[in-house]
Amino acid sequence: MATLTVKNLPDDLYERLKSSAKEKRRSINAEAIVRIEESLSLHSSAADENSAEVVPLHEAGGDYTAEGSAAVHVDASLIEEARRWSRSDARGTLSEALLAYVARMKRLSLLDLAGKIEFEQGYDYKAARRQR
Amino acid sequence: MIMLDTSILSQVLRRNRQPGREIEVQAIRELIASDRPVALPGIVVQEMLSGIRSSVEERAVSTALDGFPIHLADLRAHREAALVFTRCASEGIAVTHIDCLIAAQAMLAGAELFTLDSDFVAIARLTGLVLFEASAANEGFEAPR
Repeated sequence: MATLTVKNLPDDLYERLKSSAKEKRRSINAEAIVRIEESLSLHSSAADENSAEVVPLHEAGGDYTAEGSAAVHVDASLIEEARRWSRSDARGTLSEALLAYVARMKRLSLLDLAGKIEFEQGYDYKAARRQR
Repeated sequence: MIMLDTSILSQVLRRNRQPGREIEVQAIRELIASDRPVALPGIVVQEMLSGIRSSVEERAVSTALDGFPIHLADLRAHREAALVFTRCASEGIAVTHIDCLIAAQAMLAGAELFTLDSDFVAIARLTGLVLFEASAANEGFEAPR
């Protein structure tokens, strides 16, 4: 088998690889092989050349049904950029991003409800505060 | 960070708004749309979900409030609230325990409190509570005609 020496590996990338290897309970060498394998096989099967990284959704959330388990294609540079702000791996970063997106959309949905909510007649939160 | 009181949220959401609060309602729109850090005390969530007539509307409001960071009161907040109450009482100002708790949570979070309730003006005068000025959120915004 061939031996590959990687020069000029950024320290933070090495630390992430090390941390991921520890998490998966395998050696750094084994982790690097798995990552390279994943990357090359995903690249070759990606339908869209711009969609460089494939993240299985069911692994991202761990709570998806069979319908939701299809892989999604995500721009690798976008994932990499997002990971600069995250302590998680790609899947964790994607989950964090989706959570943040959902929270934002929920907050914005409040604006759609403005002026539309009907409260019970006589309900007065301030009067209730005074009664307690 | 800006913490919202029930008085302002209720004014934004309710069908029958009090007139003359357009600046504050617009300020909330600006804060949320521009992703300013806005949070809610847990008791405000409870008050907002109380008394909504339709269960469909109640679920929609609940979902929307889910998107905000919710500050649940801990022992420190309750202790601070008690100090706020005592401080106000010593000046002869009657305040409710919930007002004191909301004020305490805002102070402990280092947040400004956005409220329409004048009781908090009295609390702010006697404690470190900082009130949010709606005009600050509307800077650069042209009010609709």
